[in-house]
Amino acid sequence: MKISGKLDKDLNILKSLISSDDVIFTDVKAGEKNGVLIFVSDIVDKAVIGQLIMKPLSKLKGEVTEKNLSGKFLSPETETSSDTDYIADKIVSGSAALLIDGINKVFIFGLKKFDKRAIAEPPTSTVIKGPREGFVESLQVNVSLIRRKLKTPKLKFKYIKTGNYSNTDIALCYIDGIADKGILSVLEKKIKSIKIDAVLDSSYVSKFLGEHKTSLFKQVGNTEKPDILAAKILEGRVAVLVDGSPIVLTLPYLLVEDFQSPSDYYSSSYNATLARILRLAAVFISLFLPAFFVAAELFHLQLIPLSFLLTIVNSIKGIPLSPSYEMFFTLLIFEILNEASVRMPRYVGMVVSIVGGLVLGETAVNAGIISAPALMIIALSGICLYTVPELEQTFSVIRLLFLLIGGSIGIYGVLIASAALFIYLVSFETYKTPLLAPFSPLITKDLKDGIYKGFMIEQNLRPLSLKNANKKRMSGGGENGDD
Amino acid sequence: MIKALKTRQICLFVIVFLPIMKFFMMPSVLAECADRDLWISVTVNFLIDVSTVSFALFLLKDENADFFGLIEKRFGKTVGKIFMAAYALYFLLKTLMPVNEQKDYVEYTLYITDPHLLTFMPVFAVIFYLSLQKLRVWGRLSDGIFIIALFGYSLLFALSVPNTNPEELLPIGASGIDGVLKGSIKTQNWFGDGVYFLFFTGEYVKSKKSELKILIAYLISFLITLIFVAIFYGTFSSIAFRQKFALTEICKYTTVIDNIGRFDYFALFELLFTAIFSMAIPFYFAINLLTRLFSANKPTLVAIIVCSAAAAFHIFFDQYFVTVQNLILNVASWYFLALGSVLPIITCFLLKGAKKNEEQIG
Amino acid sequence: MKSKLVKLLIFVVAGVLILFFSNDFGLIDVEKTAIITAVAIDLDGENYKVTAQIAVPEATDTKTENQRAQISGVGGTVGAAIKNVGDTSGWYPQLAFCNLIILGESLSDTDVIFILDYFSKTLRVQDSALTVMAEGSAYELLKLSTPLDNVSSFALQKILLKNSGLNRDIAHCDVKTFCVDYYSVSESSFMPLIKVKSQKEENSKSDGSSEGQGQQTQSGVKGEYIFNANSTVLFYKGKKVGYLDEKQTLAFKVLKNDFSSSTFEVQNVSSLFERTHNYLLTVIKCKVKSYLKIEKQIPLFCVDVDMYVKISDENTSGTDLDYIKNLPLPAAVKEKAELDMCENIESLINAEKVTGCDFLGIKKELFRRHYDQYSAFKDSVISSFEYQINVNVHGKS
Repeated sequence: MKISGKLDKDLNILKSLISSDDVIFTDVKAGEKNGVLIFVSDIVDKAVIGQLIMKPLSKLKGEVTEKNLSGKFLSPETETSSDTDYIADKIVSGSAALLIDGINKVFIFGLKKFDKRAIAEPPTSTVIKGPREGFVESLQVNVSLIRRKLKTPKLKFKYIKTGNYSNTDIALCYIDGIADKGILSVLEKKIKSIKIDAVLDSSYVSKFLGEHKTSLFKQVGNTEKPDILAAKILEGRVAVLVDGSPIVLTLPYLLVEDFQSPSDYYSSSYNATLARILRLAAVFISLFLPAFFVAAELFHLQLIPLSFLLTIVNSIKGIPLSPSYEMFFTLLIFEILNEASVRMPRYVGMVVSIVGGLVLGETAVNAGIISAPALMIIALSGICLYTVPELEQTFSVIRLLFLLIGGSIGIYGVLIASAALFIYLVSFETYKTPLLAPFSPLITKDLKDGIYKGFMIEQNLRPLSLKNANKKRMSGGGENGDD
Repeated sequence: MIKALKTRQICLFVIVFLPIMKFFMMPSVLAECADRDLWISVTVNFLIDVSTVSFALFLLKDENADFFGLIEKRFGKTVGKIFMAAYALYFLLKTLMPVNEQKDYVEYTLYITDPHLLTFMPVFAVIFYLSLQKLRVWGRLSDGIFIIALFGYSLLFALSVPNTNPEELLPIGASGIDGVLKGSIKTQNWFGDGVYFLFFTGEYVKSKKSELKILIAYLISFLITLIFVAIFYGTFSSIAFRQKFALTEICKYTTVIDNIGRFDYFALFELLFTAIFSMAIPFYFAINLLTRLFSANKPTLVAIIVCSAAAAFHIFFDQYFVTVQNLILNVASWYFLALGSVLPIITCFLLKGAKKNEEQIG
Repeated sequence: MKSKLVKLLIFVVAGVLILFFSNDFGLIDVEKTAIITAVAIDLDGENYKVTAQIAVPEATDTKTENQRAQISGVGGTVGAAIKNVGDTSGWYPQLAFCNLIILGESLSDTDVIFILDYFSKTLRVQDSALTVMAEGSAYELLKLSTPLDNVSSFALQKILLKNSGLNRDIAHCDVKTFCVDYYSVSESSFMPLIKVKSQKEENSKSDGSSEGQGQQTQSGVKGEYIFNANSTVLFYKGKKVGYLDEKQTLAFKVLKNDFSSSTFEVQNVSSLFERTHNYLLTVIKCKVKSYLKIEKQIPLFCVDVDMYVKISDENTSGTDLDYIKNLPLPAAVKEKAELDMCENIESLINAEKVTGCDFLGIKKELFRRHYDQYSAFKDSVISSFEYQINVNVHGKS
């Protein structure tokens, strides 16, 4: 519907669209004409309204028209519209709207003022060395954080609104001339096609961006740190920022990303390489150790060194559960404790740790319900998985599956399952990017930032695993010659 | 046209997947026929295979389709279908021994008691899944598994060499030509590696000296097999013929007395993991050919039928496999030799000739 | 297609869960398994009597408990006897950890390959297990306990296992080696002979006391027996044909090129003062080249030994100056060492000729290096070959 210019009628229309107790309708005078200023009380900066809108308004004299009004207001973000739906959307998004009798346009002032969290170090990616700031829930703040890192006109943001009721702002962030245009247009199309009630977090969007809807594996990367995001978009990725979420999505995604920690880039190459090898080894231990241990106990005793075997025999004597049940239930208890400690308030979490660690663990071993080796194996496996926290949920499902297979048909079963998983992973692609690159397919130039973390000076090319428009990142000129 | 593979991936495919299936029963079968001259039989078979690859490499150099596509194109659909049927049978027969020897290997060496047949059967699910994948997945698997296989081969050799007496291979030629040739023929089931390349012609991105690189890859694959059989005989000599599962046997003597335990199993598991894929290769190509033979859009149905039939075969013929094995080693070997080497070489020449005719007419 | 795959996956997971929770494919887990660390095999009339040493953690602390952890079974074949062990104990005998096979002397007149082939052919049994022959009953040997270890098999393994940096004068043999030699053209094999010595007797001999302390059978008290494995039993076609004494075994180790890091005792070396001294030489490196050549239709076995030694002990007295003058090796010690080693090797070669057991691999050499003349000499080579020994001992500081 359009604004007619008749104040009463227009006001009624807008009231019917946004009738809520927190919407303020304030009568104002614009010269000789009556007007109404509409805004939502808690999301608009009232002091700024007074300074930038009311004060200039009060100084107006004589005949007031749309033409002579424009330029009078001090608000830098001013627009006019006659579309009532658009005006209503703007008001609920944090703008103030000014209706003046006889003028068939409404002035809209961007004066949002949300309470926001202070910029802090994200708990999921803490570093010893390196920047500590993290994204917050405000899109504007996040954009400013990225802008501060990459002061180039080639850094582009493309805004899209999604969510039938939430009208959430989503921003696609990329560097013109580096990001692949094809991926960008596909992403834009996908985000525009999202038709859900509300986008409350970036994870909502990530579900729509993945190309394999039922996959257990991540298909979209994410980060909470502007420095990491800057590095990723400089490699040719596109970032998806969602208003209300401190987690920024990045695409395309490679599995190796999650084995790379932010601190790798701020420490020496040797330390970073060692840390990556450790992470990889830890994941292998975590996935295979419980399954192999149970399988060895049940089917392949010869795999265990004799002295260790004797220790096991000694420790499991009198335990009522079979080795496979014992390991399964220990893992189950571990997962329950893990879930509980994440969900519970911090002060209760301490109690859970004590109860879980001491009472359940120690007592269960002493009471002869589970054996010390089984407890030890699960504890080790659990700790190892947290070296790659981003993949913890995926890998804990695989670990459980491997354990079930190992306990059912032994190590050969685990090998078969691993083969199936490997085939799945090598054939897995999102946005025409193989998940296991640069290892499979092998892209030798990208191995400098794979498990081995090369020296900064060696990394003169952007990752060839990703589609990007400009391959060169060092020595001041791209292959496609844009910088 | 986007090519499925890169030259590097073909090379790694040859190095990673082709030697491993020769590590199970083949050395003992060779030792039975050629005794200490088993390595000569291996060399003879390599020369046969490498000649197949060489002819395919150089005669079909500028083609844009695989061997079977070319036959259909040059000699007509009927001839193409006959070739596909013949080679589908070839690959189906070639699946029998690897599956059975790996099944026996797993049963007898990994488990402390005879495991249930179900233990091995899930492997057919993996083969089925792999059969649905495109050819490029093989390239990626080769890339991905290369390091695993390399570590496996290296550890295996490093652990077994200290207990090997190379003098056991002397005197050279004691088994005579008869023994050597008998060994060569009887082990055709494990060779005929040149045939796989027929699927790659026209399907890979040619790089600088790609022909030479591929031939070197075949040479490396041969050397891995050669070293393995030499170590095997150097370790077991007079009792080599009865060591049915060479893979487990050759490196245990170094580790068994150690307090660390059987860490040679690390190598064995890595190689067993690789062997799962190697075992799937003939299945993959058989399903590929059958899908093309019946002009099916997708390989799913063919793969289901082939994998179920193979699983059923191995369940029902488990008790009688010795008979099947004898048939494969003694009778089917000639079929393997004919289709694995003789026919491809002749056909490559015919294809080249037909191409020349086309060009002259064109 | 995707939803079908997901459904299929759900079925697979459900199947795995069912298998997991009902898992009993005749599996034998660690609790039902008797981990056998050694077996002793004796002849029991027409049958074999197999005694298995079971590794049970609590049972290895005391001598009596150790004896309780031994179970015997009897059968017409070794396999049957081992099965009998499982049947009588109710446990599943797990031989993957069996590192020692002791054969009783009663078996020496039978073809022992009937026994050892079982371990060689069966895949779930170690064919890398050390093989020894007991002087007397193998069962009795397994029952004994030593001053340092109550489990005789563990004590024996400590003696028999090769250690880097410490080479004992024992002719090691495992099942595979025995079988390989047996089935080779030589048809000859060997294994260490275990002699049991009572420490009590030894002590009483040495201190002249005739009073013993009686048999120690109390729990926790270590036994009083020690083992000697420096002699070797020789087999031809699987049957015992003779022995090598300690010196011959030492020479055998030399010819097998397995003498580095060992020691060599040289006794009665004459000095200027008409006194004799004894020396202990540490063998730093020992290079041996043994080969067969045929000269004028006579097989000639040549042995060239280059031994690099240093003196580690001597029963002499002298000043530091004398010691320095003696470095690296006094000529008299060198000569005596060469002479002794020569004698030992000669004696070893004669043992081969006398017993007909080709433990030196002369026939193998003939086959490998002189294949064209193999058929001409194969029957006579052991008795007719001549030899040429050349030993050089070098001092190394």
